[in-house]
Amino acid sequence: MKKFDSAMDLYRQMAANIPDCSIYIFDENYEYLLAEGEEIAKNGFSSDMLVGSNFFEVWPQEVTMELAAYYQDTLKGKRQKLEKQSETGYFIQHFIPIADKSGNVLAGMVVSQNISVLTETRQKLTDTSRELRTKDQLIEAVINTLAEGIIVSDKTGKVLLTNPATEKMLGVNVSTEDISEIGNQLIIKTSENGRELTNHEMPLAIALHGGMLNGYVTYVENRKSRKILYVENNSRPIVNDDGEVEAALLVMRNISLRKELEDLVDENINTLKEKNERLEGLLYEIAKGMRGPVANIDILLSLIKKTTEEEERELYLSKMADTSRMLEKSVTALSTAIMAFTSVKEDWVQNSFDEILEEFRMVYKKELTEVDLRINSDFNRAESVIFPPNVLKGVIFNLLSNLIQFSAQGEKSEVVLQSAIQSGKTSVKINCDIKNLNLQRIFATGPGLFGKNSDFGLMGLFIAKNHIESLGGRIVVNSKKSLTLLF
Amino acid sequence: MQTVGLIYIVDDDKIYRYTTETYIQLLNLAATVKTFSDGEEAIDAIKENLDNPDQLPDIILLDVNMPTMDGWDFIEEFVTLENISKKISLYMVSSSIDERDQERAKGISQITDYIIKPITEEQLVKLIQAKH
Repeated sequence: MKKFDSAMDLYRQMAANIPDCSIYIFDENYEYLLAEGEEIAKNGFSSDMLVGSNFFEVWPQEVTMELAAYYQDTLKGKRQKLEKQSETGYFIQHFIPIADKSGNVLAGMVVSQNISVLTETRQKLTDTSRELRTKDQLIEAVINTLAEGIIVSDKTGKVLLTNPATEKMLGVNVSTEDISEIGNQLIIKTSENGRELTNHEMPLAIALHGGMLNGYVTYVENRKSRKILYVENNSRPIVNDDGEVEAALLVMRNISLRKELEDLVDENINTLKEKNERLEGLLYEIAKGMRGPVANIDILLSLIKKTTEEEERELYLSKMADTSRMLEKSVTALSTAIMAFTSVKEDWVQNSFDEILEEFRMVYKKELTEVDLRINSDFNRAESVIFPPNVLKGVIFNLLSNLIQFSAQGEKSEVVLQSAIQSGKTSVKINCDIKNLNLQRIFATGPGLFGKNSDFGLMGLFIAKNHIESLGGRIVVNSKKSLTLLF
Repeated sequence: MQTVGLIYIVDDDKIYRYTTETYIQLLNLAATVKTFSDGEEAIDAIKENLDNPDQLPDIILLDVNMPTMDGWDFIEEFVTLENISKKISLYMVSSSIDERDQERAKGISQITDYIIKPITEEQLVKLIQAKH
């Protein structure tokens, strides 16, 4: 005992200050020389009861059976550790031999610590960690299967997280750690005016500065593949408890298809609006082209009824005949125009320019000879155009028959038709060597179907123009004596 | 039968101009009828005679849809004319049955009425009576 007196106080101090701990020292006869610590009381003992008592006498048999070997080995100089669960908690016991300077074991020491709280905490940590791992795996699975591209960057621009969709969408390698390297592979522009974004305007940069973007659309072009897409960006800053931005999240959605559909819808709406406007114009002309002559016939009938003079009656009848002819022409032109408005593109066919012109020459052979008008053509550059059946024929017949009327001056005239393809569009230029012809004036009459020159039979020209335009084509008057049909 | 001094017929339809003029003369509704094939010719004629009421029309029968200057453009210019020395009744005469045209005409105080073609004998007589 004396040998340990100096150390005993130290061991007591240790036992008193280490929470949930007890220290036992026993001699070669397994008698306790020291038993201290708050755990002793929890086992129903006191220090006094244990000191001087024998290990085998104090503890119940199941305890001595379990621990005897440890006690013996300790006295043999072996350090051991035992973790065990008992009714009072989870313990860790260190068996430490106490030896002199020569290494002779003088006694054994057991440091027993109740680590129930620690074990519980450790278990909780393990459970939490497992739970977090499961959540991580779940999040990773979700992120990896998302169609949206995701990039999380820290405030230095280091990529913390990204997903396969980003790589697939942008067509760039996102394994890099530097966000600027991803940016360098792309040209990113605003969708409104096509201006290239500066580094500070990039969606992630905005979020790293505390800003937030919702549905901001950018136009993205891959520098290498030239692939173009529209991306909807949603970015958020990720802030810590002090409200400081630590990182930023960017979620990107490829909306190219949506954009394409939107553009298509816009285009269709505009086409529809344009068509409606033209239809309105056409209906206006129908009112004028049909109701006007009918009203004239009505008045002429009243005049015929009123007059007793044969000469006057003849005059009114001749005016009525003129009106009827006008009405007939008008009905034909309007019917064709209405058919064109309702024409379905699938029904369009190849219209051969040569065939149309040949037919015109045959039908108007007599008139062409009478006015000495030659019609020449060069359709080598474009032989035909896809258009509704008979519409192009109607338009060309209309234009040329009107030119015959202008040629009735008794002088030689010539009309040359020449086809071409420009920017994917087929055109037919018509150059007229006809005295006094002023195409600009004729077409400047605007929507007036029966213009000043109605007596020249030009009523169909506006319809022809409207007709072509209603089908996506145009009549462009180049000069007084030249015009171009564009398809 | 009541009569007026001068009627302008402004219409690009040659037969309409002829029949309406004939009608007016036949019914003896005006001392003189002048015809114009578009608004520009008619407005020029009015401008030339601003200080000469005898040469200004009592009634204008104005078509809506005409080349060069249509009925609406004519009115736009007509309302800017100052010091017209005569009260002129302006009738829009059109084959358009578009209600928007009629509504538009109603919104212009200088337009006396909107008549859909054909203009009848009764309507012509009423126009003249309204001047008295």
